Amino acid sequence: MANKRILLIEDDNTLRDAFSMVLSKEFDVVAVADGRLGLYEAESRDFDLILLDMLMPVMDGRAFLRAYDNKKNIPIIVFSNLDAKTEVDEAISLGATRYLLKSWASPKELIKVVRDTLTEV
Amino acid sequence: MRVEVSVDTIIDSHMRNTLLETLGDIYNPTKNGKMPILVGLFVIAVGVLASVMFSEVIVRRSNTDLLNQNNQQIAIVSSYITYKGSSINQILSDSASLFKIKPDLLQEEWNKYFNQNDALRNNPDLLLVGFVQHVPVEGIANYESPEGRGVKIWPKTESDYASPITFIASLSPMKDDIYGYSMSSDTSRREAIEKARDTGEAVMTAPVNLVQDGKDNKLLGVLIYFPIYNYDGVPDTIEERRAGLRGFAYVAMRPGDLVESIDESVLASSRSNFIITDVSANKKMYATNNPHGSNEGIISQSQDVTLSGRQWRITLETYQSTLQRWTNPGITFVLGILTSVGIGFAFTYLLGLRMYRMNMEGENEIARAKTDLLALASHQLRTPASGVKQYIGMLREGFVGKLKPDQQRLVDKAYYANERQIDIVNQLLYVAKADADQLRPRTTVLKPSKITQDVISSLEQQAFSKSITIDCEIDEDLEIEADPRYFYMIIDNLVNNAIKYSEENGEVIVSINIVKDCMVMKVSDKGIGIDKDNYDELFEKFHRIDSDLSQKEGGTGLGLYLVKKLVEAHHGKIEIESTIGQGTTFEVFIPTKFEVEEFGSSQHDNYKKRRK
Repeated sequence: MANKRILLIEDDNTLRDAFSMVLSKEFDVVAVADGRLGLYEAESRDFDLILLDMLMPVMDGRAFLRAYDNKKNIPIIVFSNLDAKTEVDEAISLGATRYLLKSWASPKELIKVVRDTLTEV
Repeated sequence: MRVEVSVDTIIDSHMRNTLLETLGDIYNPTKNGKMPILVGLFVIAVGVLASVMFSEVIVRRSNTDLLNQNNQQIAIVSSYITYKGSSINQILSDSASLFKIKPDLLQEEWNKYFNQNDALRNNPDLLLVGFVQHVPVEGIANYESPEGRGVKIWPKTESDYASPITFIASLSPMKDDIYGYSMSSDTSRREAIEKARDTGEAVMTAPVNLVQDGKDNKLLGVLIYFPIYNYDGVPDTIEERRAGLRGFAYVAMRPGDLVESIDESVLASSRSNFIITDVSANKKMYATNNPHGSNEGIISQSQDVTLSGRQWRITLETYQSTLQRWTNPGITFVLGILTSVGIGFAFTYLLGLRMYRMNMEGENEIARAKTDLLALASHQLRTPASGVKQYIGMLREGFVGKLKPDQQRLVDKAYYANERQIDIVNQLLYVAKADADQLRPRTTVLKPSKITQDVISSLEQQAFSKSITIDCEIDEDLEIEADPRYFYMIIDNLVNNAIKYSEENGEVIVSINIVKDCMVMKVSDKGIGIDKDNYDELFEKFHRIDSDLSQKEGGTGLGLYLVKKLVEAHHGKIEIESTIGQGTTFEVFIPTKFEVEEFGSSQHDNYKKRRK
């Protein structure tokens, strides 16, 4: 079975490196540094899941969710350090599948959440 | 080889003090608190000063107003008298011309003339219009009135001529005995008569007792004589006038009647009295008699008017006492002071309110800035910490191969130290939110037993290292409506504290029950206990109990503050029960159903309302 393809949109170099390292253990990962590049990737290639940071320069997570036409209904996990109720509600209302705190998941837990999200769909 | 990894106190005591000082400044916005009171006092002072000055001005102004008004009244009376004089002259010269038409005029015809024209009716202030015959000395003894009624000249006087009253026309009945009265027998009348005779003009007498009033009457009157000559017109020389004198047409009147026939409103003022004086005779002819306080301080205004050769003085006397009663400066002063005190208080209140609001705004602004800073800082701290968590996590979870036991132990320590750092940063973030009143629970129906178990298992390591047992007494089926993350943080902090403040081999008990619609959670330890005096401080930000144990354990001093805020965000409350040396129990009460409140209202306020 071919690996699932994940698009990781994260502006912080360290986190982008760490998350892609963790996720590449089980998935094919394309990692980009802002929402605009993410939008380009998402529209030009097929992905099974998108991991989206909220606070980003150029195009933040909110703007990405507004701009992205999710025709194939790809699950989108929004992950951020922001966990204010309004932010979460807004992300969900803009089409995010679930919301994840960056600091919450250990590598195994992160993979588990992604795997669970993929099987749920 | 053993290596101790120590991530003890993230906030050391120095930093804590600095923070407390900063917060103290922010939370005591009492600077310039006296300003509104000072401004209020200033306004009152200005008001008092203004009312003193103003009352003076008012007195002066109203005095001036009154005096101006008086002058107007005097002018009205004067011009009326002047007008009256000329109309009397007209009446006299008209009646004199009767004798030109009919030299042997009779009383009957005289009366008829005045009945036919309205001279008397139009001038009710005239007592009568009469005719005085000129009788030379040789004719006095044989005087016979034109009607032949046997009227004699009286009183008997040694004089070169007599001037008996011959005709009288009057609206009021006259006694017959005044006929024949010789006007020239009285000095005042004689002076006027002779002056009229010599000048050929109407001349008024000084004030006299009118003959019809009798001698006892104190009312004074005046007479105006108009000479009638035997020739047409007035002769050129005094000699001719004396020789050709036929008699006089005359009127009698009282100056009082004259003034009182004016519209009453002119004289209605009760603050002053009207006086009419004959200047040359220096005799008061008329005076109104309005009561007044004292005779002191009379303001007298007057104007002279000439009427048929005599000078009258019209005087208006106003009494200071009535002036003062009318424009009492005391009342003005008191009203002024009351008003200014009122305005002063209003100023103080409004300014105080404004300053309070400004302070609040300033405070809010600082609080907001602080929150933003904390949120930003914690975000920046959390990002690399999250990276560290992933890297160490990969090592720890065997992503790059199995570690040796020693390596595993170190990596575990690093992992947990990092976890703790993340916890502290999270706490800071929540504190910032709590301060900004932004804790808004995202509630779901949750099982307290599950979350408590999660907490206990995450703290197992810590408890195990102090040989502390944790007992959990919770019905697995219990459900309440709450925010799972917040709920986790509440239990986590309380159990963490309980372990922290327990001696080795201690015991921590967590129990949750539902009483009516309220969840009651108890977290007890058998630790060092808390002094009652410290209960309130315990929930303050950055407060830590000073003891050897707390020094050893370290901490942020944020935990209980946050717990209280989180409990309050769920409309609950937290209480302490403690005995020194025996242990402490924290009791948390949270309603099982979460009531969504309107956006913007403070949870803390709501909590207070509920308590009442």
